Amino acid sequence: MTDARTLDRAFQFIMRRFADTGRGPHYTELAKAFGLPVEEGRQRLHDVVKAFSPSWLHPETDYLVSFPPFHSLPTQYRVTVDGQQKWFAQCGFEATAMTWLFPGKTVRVDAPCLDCGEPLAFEMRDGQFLRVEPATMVGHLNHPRIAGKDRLAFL
Amino acid sequence: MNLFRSEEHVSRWALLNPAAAVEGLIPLADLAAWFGMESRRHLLDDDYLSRWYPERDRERRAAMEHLGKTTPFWLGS
Repeated sequence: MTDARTLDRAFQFIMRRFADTGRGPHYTELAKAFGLPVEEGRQRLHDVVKAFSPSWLHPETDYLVSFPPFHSLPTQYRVTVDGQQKWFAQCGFEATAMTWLFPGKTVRVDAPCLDCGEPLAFEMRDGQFLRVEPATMVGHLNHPRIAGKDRLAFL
Repeated sequence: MNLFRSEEHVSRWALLNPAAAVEGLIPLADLAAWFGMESRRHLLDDDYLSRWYPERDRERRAAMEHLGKTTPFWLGS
């Protein structure tokens, strides 16, 4: 059982890696960062993912896919900061939380509408909307929330 | 948990779950309020996982109540 302080440090390493690069680390990088044997790095990644829901590994692998609000695999929610588009949001809802990872910066989210494919976009800075296009944009939850099965809600 | 250009676009979505057509709608401003609650503002804190993450479930429930979304659909089963 990994202690809370150790989990905090591993969590922060992963979150900051996503914020800096748009991708999560491989567990070997986690091991190297904390001076651990590789297998302990792998286990630590699993411990953090288990402790932080809804994050997940790609099924039947040790590859980190989702670490909200970030997502390593491309989603339709492309995030741009300082003119660089190198992040993806886990879902449309989490896209509105991206602003808290980039304090003082304008965060732009672009996505196609799943109905028509036409663009939608918003910009936020420090939690405040600067721009919403179109103004009629809405969020939608397509399946009821089921405790412990949060991934269903992303469909 | 998706974004659409408008409610009309949701109603036309090919993968729409009919049971969620109306109940699943949430204004963008409400989403930002929900995902802007206190714990979300500390994602880069060194003690986020132990100090702030445990607050999220309570905050989510409070947000849902504030937004009038108190059905099992939103609160979970």
